[in-house]
Amino acid sequence: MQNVIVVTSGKGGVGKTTTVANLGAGLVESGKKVVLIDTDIGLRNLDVVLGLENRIVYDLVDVVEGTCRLKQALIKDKRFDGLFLIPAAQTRDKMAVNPEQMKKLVEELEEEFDYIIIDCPAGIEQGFKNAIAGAKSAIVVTVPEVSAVRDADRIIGLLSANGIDDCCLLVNRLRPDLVKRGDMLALDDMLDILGVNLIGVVPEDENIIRSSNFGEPIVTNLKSIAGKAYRNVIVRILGDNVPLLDMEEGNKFGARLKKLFSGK
Amino acid sequence: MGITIKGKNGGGFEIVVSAQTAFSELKESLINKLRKNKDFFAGTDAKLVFSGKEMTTAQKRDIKRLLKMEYDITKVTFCGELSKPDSQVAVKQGQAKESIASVSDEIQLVSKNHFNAKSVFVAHTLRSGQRVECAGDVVILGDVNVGAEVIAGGSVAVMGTLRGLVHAGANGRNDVVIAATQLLPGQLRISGKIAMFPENKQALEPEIAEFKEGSVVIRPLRARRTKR
Repeated sequence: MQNVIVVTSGKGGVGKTTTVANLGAGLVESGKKVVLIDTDIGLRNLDVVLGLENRIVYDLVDVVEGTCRLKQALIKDKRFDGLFLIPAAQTRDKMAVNPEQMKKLVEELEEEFDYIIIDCPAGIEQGFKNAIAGAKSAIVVTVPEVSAVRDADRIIGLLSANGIDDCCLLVNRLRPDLVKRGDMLALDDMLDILGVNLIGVVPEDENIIRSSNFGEPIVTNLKSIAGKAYRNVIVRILGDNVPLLDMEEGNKFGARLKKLFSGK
Repeated sequence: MGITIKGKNGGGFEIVVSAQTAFSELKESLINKLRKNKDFFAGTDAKLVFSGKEMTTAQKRDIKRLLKMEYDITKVTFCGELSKPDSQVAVKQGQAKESIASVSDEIQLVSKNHFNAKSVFVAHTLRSGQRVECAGDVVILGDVNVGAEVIAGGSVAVMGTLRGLVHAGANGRNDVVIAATQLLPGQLRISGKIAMFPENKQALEPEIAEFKEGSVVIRPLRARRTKR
């Protein structure tokens, strides 16, 4: 993975923003300086998921229009040393920024930051074109659903057509129990169709709901299996190998624990 | 490239679109031509027929909406509009290792002038949304994913898994075949005829589909030698 990563999917609601927030929070723990950019103009969410919405003064559109200096729009996250956010604008739309402006912005940011992670909106229109403009690598997020995989395939094709070939897959919200029953797509089937490398698998974890609502990235929750999965993804981004989590393990243990305490 | 508007006998106009024209260009040309000749086309009497370019349902809807809203033109048809299929026919397993898919629907054939390549060799997987068109034969070295399209005047060979859309003999030839290492499409099109496949069709070996006496016949690529 290179230093400018776009997190995209095509399909909406698969976990791009959650992934960006967690990759950012996790990467800084290894001493990297990271900036996150929300390009979902008009429907901004990255600030919410990070719990930084009340600190927004200037946004991405202000920066590209020259209303403010770049430094003024950078929000420093006080909990994670080295993590910064450039939020999207909420009262504008995706036509307010163009790919050329994004490329220039990324070039400027590269001088100061080790990693630039770009949160891409759903779709393949202007928002997508803006988000991929300065990117060198891509993480395609998908869930184990036929429609999501279809969209991921389209996106991978578009990324390739736009010169981004360093592309890997993050499978989110996997339910091993459903896969076993044959109700959910298995990892191998997805990789067979998509034909890209896997950077990680994040299992379904209800702790995510709380973490999104309270603005606390799940990587900080050491008991959460999704948190552990994201931490593994970060290890892989940094270049090391770590085997995929045994998701069955988490479920079995939890089930045993439940039985113990319910006195049955 | 662009569009040409021809008057038709008996009223109405035919809008001929060059097949190489991109949809966005088509829309722009259409808007410009209509704007310049607004009085000419005004009113619900104008009948427009589009021909020359295969368009998706969404594209046709887009055009119809544009014409209705801007110029109050409602009588718009596209060459070769499909009627609702009344029977989807499953692939039948024939006795002699042959499966027969009955053909029920038809689709507009593409004119010979549509293509500009004689044969095409694609050295990668075709992803959803990618489309290859060719007057002659097409070989894909890779998969054809769902949402990808291959439109060929000749035959098509896929050295991988075929899940997407292939139309061989798209300009009327029926001495064409479609072959794949794993033939798993939802539907195949040969020479304007559409054959549907069941969801649970298996692909245990490379197969080849061809047109025989009105049916699309699937057989294994490698002929089995029977022991005497």
